[in-house]
This record gives sequence, structure tokens and C-alpha cells, in this order.
Amino acid sequence: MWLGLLMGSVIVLFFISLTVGRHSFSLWQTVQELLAQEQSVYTLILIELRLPRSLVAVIVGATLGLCGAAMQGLLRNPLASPGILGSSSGAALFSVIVLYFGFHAISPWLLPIAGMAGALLAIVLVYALTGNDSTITTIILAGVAINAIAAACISLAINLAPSPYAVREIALWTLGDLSKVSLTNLWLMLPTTLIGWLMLIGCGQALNALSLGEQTAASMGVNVARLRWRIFLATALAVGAAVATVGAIGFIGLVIPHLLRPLVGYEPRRLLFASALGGAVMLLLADISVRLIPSQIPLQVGVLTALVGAPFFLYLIVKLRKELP
Amino acid sequence: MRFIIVASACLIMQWANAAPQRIASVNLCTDQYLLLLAAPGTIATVTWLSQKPESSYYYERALRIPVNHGEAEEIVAHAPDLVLAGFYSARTTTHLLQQLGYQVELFDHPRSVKQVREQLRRMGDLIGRREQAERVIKTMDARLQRVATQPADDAPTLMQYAPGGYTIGRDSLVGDIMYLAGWRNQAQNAGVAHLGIVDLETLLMIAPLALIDSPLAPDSYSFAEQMLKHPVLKKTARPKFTVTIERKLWICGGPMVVDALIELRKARETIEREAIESEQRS
Repeated sequence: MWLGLLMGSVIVLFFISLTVGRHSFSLWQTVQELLAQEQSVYTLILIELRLPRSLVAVIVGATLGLCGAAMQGLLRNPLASPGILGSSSGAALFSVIVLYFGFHAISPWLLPIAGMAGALLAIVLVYALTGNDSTITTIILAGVAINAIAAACISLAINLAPSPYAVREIALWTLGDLSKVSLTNLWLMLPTTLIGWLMLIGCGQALNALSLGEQTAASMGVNVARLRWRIFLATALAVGAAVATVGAIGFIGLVIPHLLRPLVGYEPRRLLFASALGGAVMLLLADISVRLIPSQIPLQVGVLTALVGAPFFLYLIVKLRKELP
Repeated sequence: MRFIIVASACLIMQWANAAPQRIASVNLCTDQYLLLLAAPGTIATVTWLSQKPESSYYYERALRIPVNHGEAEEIVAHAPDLVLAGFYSARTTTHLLQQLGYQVELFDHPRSVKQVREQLRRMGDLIGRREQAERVIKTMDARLQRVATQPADDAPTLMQYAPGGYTIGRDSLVGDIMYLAGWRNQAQNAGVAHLGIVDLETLLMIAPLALIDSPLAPDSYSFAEQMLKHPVLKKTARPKFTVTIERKLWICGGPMVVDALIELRKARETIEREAIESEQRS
């Protein structure tokens, strides 16, 4: 029931996202023009600007929700998410280096690959610092440290970048922005994202078993070490590509699995799919709102997800404090 | 005896009014005026940007002059008797220098060729080179007389489209030059009078015939610069042309803006000729 509702929302919001912009025109008429293979300003705006923007919103939102759910399931820790564990900022750092120093001119594929490498490095570092079954505090502290280092290196790299426009874009990498994506960006991010998704979706059963404890899971035939690496790698693939394309959009991976967990009966396997849909809904909503808020300078989408997500994060901490002895 | 008194009085007066001998500038555009007008040896320091061939028209003259990065410490070290600065750049430095009692003169960015003339005169007065300034203005005006025009009602349309979607309107030096080169600047259709941001959707709707590319740093990379490479700009019928104008020709005021005007006018005439030819063919 809930899944159907979420899926319906994704579809409805996707179409709303196609109609929202600086200029309004009839979506229906434009689609007819497209079918008649006529080219007009409106078909160009629809196909080349709004379609990639809406699709990327769905894909990135789904990636963040899905990866958040998988990480929370794997580490059995409610605060595990791509943003908190530093993989978003790791991906951002590597993408910044590739983008601003012209390496992506060698091959555009270097960008998603760099994002992936950065995300993986950050996750592995946090994991190496904390180990398995560590307390929430240690994980958060390790994440804070990795995030701080990555953020400092991003600022440093951008300040050293030859482009005079670079410095203004620090905010983009820490907040995320969907306004400049093109179909080319979409094609570039798609392969690694899809591989990441497929790797994660197959983890459902193992995550279910893991929720009963590591030993139980092992006795049920789950190779926990392999599962861990699989999820790390898959998250890196998907989050890396997403961050390399639109910057680090925060809080979706943290908030969405929490909101949806009660709705799917606390079952990690079902949470994966639901969180992917929920992430897409949240990012589409945020991106539509950003375009509806009248402002001279376009607002960044990460501003909105943070405005919604950060209070929720605080609520989570308060709740955890009550639960802990 | 009387003659000597008069002569020495003249000398003293001249000394009191003496032109500044150690002039410091913390803004690229005041640098350009100085490099153009100042007497040899009177410039103490200019900004580091003035030695860059891509941003500074008179960069060769700046190569032998010590540079600064707009920091108050650097300026104080030169003990200048006149500091020139822009209205918006290096604000903390100019505030500090004013508090320390230095003579600081601020120049706003000129918004028309007329204001360039006014600024040249003001600079000439400040550094005791009014005659040179008048000479520069006279030559500039003579060239303008030959090439400046006004856009016809059906003149081709253009817009500057800088990284990040920045465009510049009529109320600016660049806008004035576009106008005098006979182009219709479409920035006002996007509601931009001076400086503003236009997103790609609006650019496609306004559909100017040509875009102006005036790169700040060619071959560098950023999200803002990637916007100009968005695939939609290759697919759309308009904008059809890109006119490249070297940034140093019109980023600051000075007689070089006439060169920008000439290039823009030539580009317009070429495009108009092509349009007529293709009409005749079809």
C-alpha cells in the first residue's frame, strides 16, 4: 500500500517537475510537438533542460535514500548515511579535483569514477577508524573528522583552481545544485548508478538476516565481511556518481529511511526499495520548491533538504538520548 | 630682488601643488588609467592582475612596476602620496588606508563611454596630467566619430552570456559599446538593466541571434563555465553565432574600448551580410 503511494507520488512529482520553470507552457502541446517531430523552443526546454533535471532528481534522490537504508541496515546504526559517514564529501573532494583542474577533459568518465573513488575512500576510512559494532558516538566522531578534512580539502582545492569562477562554487559542493544538469550528465552518471543499485537491491535478504545479529546472520549462511564490502562498494558507485553530477545533497539518506521504517514494518529488505522511492520524492519536492521560491539568484536545492533534514536530525538525537540509559 | 621673490614664490607654489610622485593603485581599472596617463617613474605599485596579458590592456607597461594584491600592508610599504582604488574592490584596504591618513581616491566602474571620458579627466587632474588626458580623449573621440553608430530597429540582437549565466544590460560600459556598435542588446528583455543572471530557459525564450563570449580565463574549468557548453546551445537555432571579444578590451574604461566597439561592429556587419546572402540564395 505504502509502496504504491510512494510510487504514485514519484510519478506525479516527476510530471510536476517537468512543468515548473521560469516560463510556463503547455506540457501536453509540447509533447504533441515532440511526437510530430517538430522542434520548438518549448521542446528544447522540455527535453534538454527539464527532463534531465527531473530525471537526475529522481535518480539522485533514489540513490541517497537507498544507500542510507543499506548503510543503516549494515551498520545497524540509525545515524549511518552517505552524508554522515563522509562518503558524500569524499566524493565531492575527488570530483572537485577532477573537474576544476581539467582532468575530465581527458575523459568525461573520469568524473563519476573519481566520485566513486572518493566515496569509497571515505567509507573505508570511517570504517577503519571505528570498526564493526562501534557505538554511535564513535561513528559520528569519525564521520565528523572525515567530513571536516574533506570539506577543508575541497575549499583548498577550489581556492587553488585556475578558474576564476571556482570559488563561488564551494557552496555547490556542500549543498548540491540540480540547475545545470544536461542529458550528457545523465548518461555519464547512469552506468555506475545502476550497477550500485543492482548490487544493493540483492542485499535485502542478507540485511534482514543481519538485523537479528551478526552471529545469527552468519549461522544463516550470510558472509558478513563480503556483505559489508559489497554495500560499501555499491554505495560508493551510486553516491559517487550522484555527487560528481550534482554535488553533495545532504540529509535525504539520513531522514528518509527513518521516516519509512515504521511503514514497512521495520524490515530492512522492504526498506531498501521504499527508501529509494522516498528519496526520489524528497529530492523532487525540494527541487520543485527551489524553482517556485522567487529569488533573483537561483537557490540551491541542498539548502531546502538541509532546512528540513537538520531539525529532524536533532529530533533523532533527542530521541536517542531518551532511549539510551 | 623682486624678481627672485616672485620666482621663489612660484617655485613654492608649484612644490605645494606638486603632482603625486608615488602613486599606488589597488584596482585593475585604476591601474589601466595610471599606466596610460602617469608620468614615467611616478607609479609605485599596481595590482598583480595588471601584469596579466588576458586581463590588462597595458600589461607590458606594468611588467617593471612592483605589484600588490590589494593588501594594506603592501601599500603602506610603498609610502604612497596617492592611493587609487575601485568602489567595490579591496574595501577593507581602502578603509584602513583612509584611517591612516593616506589620500585615497575611489573610482566607480564606468557605465558609459561618457563616464570613461569623465574618469580620464579626473585621473588627469589627480596626477597632474590633465593635458595627457585631454589628448587621449581627443584621439579616442576622433576614432569613435568614425566608427560609432546606433542600432537600427531591425538590427541583429545579441546578449552577453558569461559563465554562471551572467549578462550585462544597457546601463554599463559593455552595454554602451554594444549599443554604439549597432547591436540590439536583449538583456533588457530578461529584465536586466545593469548586471543580472539569466537561466538557460530564459535565454532560449529570448533567443538572441548572437552571444558574446568574453572569457575571463580561457581553458579553465568550473560548473559556471560548463553552463556555456550545455548541449542545448548546440541544438537551438538561436543563438546562432558567438562573438568573442577579448576581455581586456572592455573590462575597464580607456581608449581601448573603441577596439572592442570596432570588433563588435565588424562581427555585426559580417553576420548581416551572411543573412542577406543566404536570403538571396533561397
